[in-house]
Amino acid sequence: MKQYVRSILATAAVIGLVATAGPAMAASDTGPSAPAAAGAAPGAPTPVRPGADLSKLAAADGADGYLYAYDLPNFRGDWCRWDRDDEWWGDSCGNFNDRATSLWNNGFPGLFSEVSLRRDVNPSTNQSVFCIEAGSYYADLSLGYERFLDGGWADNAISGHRWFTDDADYIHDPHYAC
Amino acid sequence: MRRFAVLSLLLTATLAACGPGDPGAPAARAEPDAALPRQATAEELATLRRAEEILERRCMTRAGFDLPAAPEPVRTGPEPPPMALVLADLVWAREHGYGARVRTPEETARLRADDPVGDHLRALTPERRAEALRAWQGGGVDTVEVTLPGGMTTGRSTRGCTSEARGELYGDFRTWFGADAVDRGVTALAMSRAQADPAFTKALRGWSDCMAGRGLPHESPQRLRAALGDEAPEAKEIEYAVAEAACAVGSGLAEVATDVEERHLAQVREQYLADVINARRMRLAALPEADRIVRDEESSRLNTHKKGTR
Repeated sequence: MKQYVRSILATAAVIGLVATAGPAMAASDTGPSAPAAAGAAPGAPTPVRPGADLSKLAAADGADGYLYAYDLPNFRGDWCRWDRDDEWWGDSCGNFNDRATSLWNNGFPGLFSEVSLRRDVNPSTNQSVFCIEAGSYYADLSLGYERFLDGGWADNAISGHRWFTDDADYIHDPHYAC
Repeated sequence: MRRFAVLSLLLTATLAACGPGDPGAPAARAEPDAALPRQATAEELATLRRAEEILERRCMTRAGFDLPAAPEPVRTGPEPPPMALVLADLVWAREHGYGARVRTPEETARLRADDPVGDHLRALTPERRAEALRAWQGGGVDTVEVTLPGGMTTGRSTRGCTSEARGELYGDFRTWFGADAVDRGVTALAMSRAQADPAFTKALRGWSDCMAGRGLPHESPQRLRAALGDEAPEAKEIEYAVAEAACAVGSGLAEVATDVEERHLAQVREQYLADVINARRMRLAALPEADRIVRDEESSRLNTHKKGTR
């Protein structure tokens, strides 16, 4: 079932790529004070659209601060959540190794608020990472390419995670402290 | 410190194994498009981030949560050279290793021990803590999202103090969110493409042979750094960083990396020019206000605690 979903998504991804290939996007839905490069730049800014409602996902017991991972896009399907480090998702929630397709970091801002998501468990072999800031989500990893540090697919490939503190923000290197 | 001096002498002595190595400083990155506003410097970005945090805390105070200030970073220092593909600045590597991306076990311990915000939150009742998180992060309602250059959808709540602070500083949260996310996504996609570029992967072989000769048989700088991890004793970090840089210069990977990186950055940037321009403009435009916010905060902090301990 999941494979089937994934192949549909892969097709959608190709369509998505074609759709974003043109420089001129559809009219942007940005706020009124957008300092958009009107006229000067070719193409409008990438549209920002209303997103997912995550309010029902947060823990019913009130105290949240979890990283949430879902088997399917858009926070559907089997799921798991963590409020500490877990380097091996294989024994979490049954087995969550190589399954996550959507993610939400509902952690507390401050120290150790960002999450570094890891592929594979042996640090000396094939480990690579990508990161998610506190409060942010990725709704569908199956549409994304080139997200792990080494360019690998992130969808159905995350094996563990660590919370970390990003002391420095180096914009020319999105993975600097990640 | 003397230990490191000896170590770097040893490393310099073994440098010859990697071929001719006058490291010198890496070439400054040329801005390919003169019409593009300049990129904010690391120092400016740090100011913007500090200002965001101050505004967040003020917003949390208005919401009824008196949070303590976050501690200073445990490792600070000059801005590192570009090292997205490979670290090629041997002088930097000898002195600073990888910079702030790696911490010593002592630094990590210090970081974990000094968590006033976390301590404050843990002391609250679970109900109150959940309220604090909603006030801070928006609780997942009224989210906005954007498709990144790589294809993924990323989003966050427009509510909550983290988003409110950014809206306040940059003028409009929604516009800022899209521009910033896509701008960073441009770099991420360009770096990934650069890593897969045949010119780069070909040049990587020489680097990797050189590394094997130094007893660090890793096929790419990314694998080397993954093996090092984000916590290591300083001597080990410097050994890895110096080996990476020496082999980058000696094998010629450094030059190839710069070319490949600039080529892919220019390509992807061209496609998302409006977002890149918006993000850069908004950062630069927010700087004077951010400076003022940070200065005000510092002077009021000095007044409150007669001695500024930090």
